[in-house]
Amino acid sequence: MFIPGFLITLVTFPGVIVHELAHQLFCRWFKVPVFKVVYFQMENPAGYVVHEATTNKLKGIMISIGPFIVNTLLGAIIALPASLPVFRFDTGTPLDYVLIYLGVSIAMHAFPSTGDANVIWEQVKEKENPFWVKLVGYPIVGLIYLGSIGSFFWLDLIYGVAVAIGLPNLLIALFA
Amino acid sequence: MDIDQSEPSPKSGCANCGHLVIAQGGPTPLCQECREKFIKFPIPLWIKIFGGAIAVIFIFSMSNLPKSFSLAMHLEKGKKAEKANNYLTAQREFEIVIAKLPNNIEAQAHLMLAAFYNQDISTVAKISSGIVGKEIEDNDLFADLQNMLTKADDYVANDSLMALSEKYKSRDTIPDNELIPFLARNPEDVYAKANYASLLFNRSDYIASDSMLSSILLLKPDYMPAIVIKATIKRELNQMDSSFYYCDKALAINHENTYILSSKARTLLKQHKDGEALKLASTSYKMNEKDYYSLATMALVYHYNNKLKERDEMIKKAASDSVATSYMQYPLDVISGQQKFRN
Repeated sequence: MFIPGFLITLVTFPGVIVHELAHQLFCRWFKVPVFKVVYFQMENPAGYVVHEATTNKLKGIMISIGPFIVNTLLGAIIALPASLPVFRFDTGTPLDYVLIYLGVSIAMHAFPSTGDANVIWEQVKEKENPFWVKLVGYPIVGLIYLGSIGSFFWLDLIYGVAVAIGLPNLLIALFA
Repeated sequence: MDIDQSEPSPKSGCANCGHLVIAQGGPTPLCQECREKFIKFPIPLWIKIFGGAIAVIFIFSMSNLPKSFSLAMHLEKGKKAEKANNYLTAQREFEIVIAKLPNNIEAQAHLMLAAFYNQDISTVAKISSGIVGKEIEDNDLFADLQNMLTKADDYVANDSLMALSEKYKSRDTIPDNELIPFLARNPEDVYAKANYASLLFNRSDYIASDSMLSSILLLKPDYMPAIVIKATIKRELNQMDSSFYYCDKALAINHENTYILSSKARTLLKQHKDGEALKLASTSYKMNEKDYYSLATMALVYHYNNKLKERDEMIKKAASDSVATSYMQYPLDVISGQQKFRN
């Protein structure tokens, strides 16, 4: 089923906000100045963060993949109390469904954008970079592009739902 | 999306305020104060309010997390126990879930399966009436249920036997000259055959009962009532290895069949292995103190282990319940010398 991208972005706007916030927070943690943040807009891109170019490659990569970490964790945590009633017991309350919506929306925007991939690409391809930077950087760029292609097949939504269901099931599998 | 760029410097000095002293730390010419300010680029109030609203909903929903987490744990533990053929544990776990979520189809379906393997046919019947017509999404679970329900048909009297029972008030009072032709006409009615085998056992006609049970097991090798009576008959016939064989056959189906664990303990007791019998009977009794056969077996093993105080406690426990008293009658007869249990 084809649904225009802007509609999906509009419906899942909390994920976009958290995505940009994650970039901003990673900049703050790595002491990189931020010049502009657009948390959400009805344009392409739906949000962005303008920050100072960093010479430290690790910081650059971390700022780019920050949303993957933050959105995944936050999506899982927000969905945690609602996941079991909704997905396992069919006893979810309207509030539970709100949390699932938020959790899935946030988690499905975990994948860094192709814009983020381009930033990493630019940083990684420099000739003077040590081998390990390329070893880490290129697969990340590849994975981001794969994720981007996958979003045509609802990979981002599948990931969002998997994160929302996954954490409680993981905890139960560990402790039961 | 993140865009890394150095802000163009419109003037010499700090790109933001023009301060002449530029701080180290990045390609953008910024004074220390501006660098700090941009590092701590403010998060707008509406974002904080948005986050706060999510936090409020989250905290409110967290209050239900321990309950749902605990139920999910019980469900999972039940499934693990079911997979390991520990059906008593499984049934207990599923009953906890059902007590809180009586309409949960998954727990109901698993409870039915566990109850069946615990020979708790009344629970199977009770749950099955509520589950009829409801959709079970898990195909494997559905197949297991179908399989179990087919088997469960052999655990209830069919209409023909019911009609015969009504004619003679109960199944136990149907005369042999009616029942034997009935069995000949219905050679695959394992329930009726097991019922007759049980009558023969009660008459101490062990050989005839054993033969009838063998014919049942030829048709249905896993038919639990037949296996259970076989284990006892073989003990009565002093065929101990055979008794153990049928005990182990039943235990392979359900590791927590306390009736058969106690039966095995009685066979050990008959072999004068009193210590082993006590150990096994205690395991069975601890597993299910509501199983009166286990309670009666405990009295018997305490008796032969010369633990008379403990034996009398067991007898006392049974005294308050008429069903328990009927199970305790055999140990009481053995203790009083009216019945001979072993040489």
